[in-house]
Amino acid sequence: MKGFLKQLKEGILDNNPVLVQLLGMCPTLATTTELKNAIGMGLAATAVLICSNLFISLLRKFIPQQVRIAAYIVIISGFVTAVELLMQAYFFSLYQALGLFIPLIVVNCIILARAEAFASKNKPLPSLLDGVAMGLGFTFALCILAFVRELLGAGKILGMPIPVYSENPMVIFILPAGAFMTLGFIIAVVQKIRNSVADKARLAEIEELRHGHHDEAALTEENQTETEEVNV
Amino acid sequence: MEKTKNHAVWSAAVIGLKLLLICAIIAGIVSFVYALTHDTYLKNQEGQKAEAIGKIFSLDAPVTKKLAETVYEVYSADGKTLLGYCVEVVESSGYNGDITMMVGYDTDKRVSGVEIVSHSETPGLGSKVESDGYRSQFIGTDKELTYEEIDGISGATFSSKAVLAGVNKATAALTAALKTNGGAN
Repeated sequence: MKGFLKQLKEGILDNNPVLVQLLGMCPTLATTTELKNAIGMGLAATAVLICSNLFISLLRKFIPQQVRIAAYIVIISGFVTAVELLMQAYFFSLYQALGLFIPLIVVNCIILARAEAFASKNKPLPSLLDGVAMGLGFTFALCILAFVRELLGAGKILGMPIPVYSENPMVIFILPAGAFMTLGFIIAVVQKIRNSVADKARLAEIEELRHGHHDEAALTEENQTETEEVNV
Repeated sequence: MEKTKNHAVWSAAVIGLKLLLICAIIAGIVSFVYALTHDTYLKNQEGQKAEAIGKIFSLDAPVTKKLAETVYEVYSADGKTLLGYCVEVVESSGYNGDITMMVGYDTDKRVSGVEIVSHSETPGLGSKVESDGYRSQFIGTDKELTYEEIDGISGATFSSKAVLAGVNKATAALTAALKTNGGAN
């Protein structure tokens, strides 16, 4: 359980696939014009990621090294197709809203990267949990971006317009240029937080070492005087 | 020498067979999901079109009769009174892909309503073609319009022009269908 919480924290914050690893930028930028679409895209990709990680991990000893990329693509596209068919039947309006980007989940770098870096080298349960963690991280990044873009660019939250602003919002935010700008700012904020956390940890380390040195220095001085006495 | 060559061929064959097996399993899974979901998907599509016709004619259950490809006569729920026509258009010149719409006409062959069934235009911009203000411009016309004759949506020229093109195509299709088939009129 503790290990899973650590994996979860890594997937969402420390090693977020979009905001830290900078993977899967294309669907991130394209599907975040509305929060509703971002949630749908994130969850669909998470479903595929979990299934593909699990499947690839189960088959990791069976898939020959020479054709592993081909095998991964077949498995991933199979699950994406299955998810698309299920959406066509049970989530029709979301399917229409996401349109072309559902099949594009096949070439979402995150899924291929996790298959190669994790699922092919780990047991099924950790791989499944990695799929959950990375998928939730992806969804989290999409939601932050979509929330900002929909709010500033259309004056709406989840489709509901806010009073004064929605009549004349800053349209650039729902256009591609705004997507890049917003994403850039969010990544900058994330890096700032990561650096300050890392800085604090390093400062604490240095403090500890310094205290350690003082004690050491005191000991060495005592030793030196002792040795001098002996020598004399 | 011979033994190593055979071994190389055999390992290549094994790799190929393993890949084949993986593909077969995946194909099986996909086929299963397809069989499970296909009927519901078709129902969803039909349901959307019926909903669009219902909105235009303010009816819960309009009865339609096919006049020509994509052109339908619309009757009242009891099937006796001809209320008008509707034409289904899939316009491919949208900014971000196809725009599927349903154009309704009254018995005088004037546009009585335009419903956007599905589109993938930019939310907040091109998606404004769904607004009442934009769509109601087409009501009452019985000929093809030019872009100058309507108010496009500022910042969404492609989407506006696409819907206009769709409506024009619908009008042309209706005129052609009535000429060849005569219909109830």
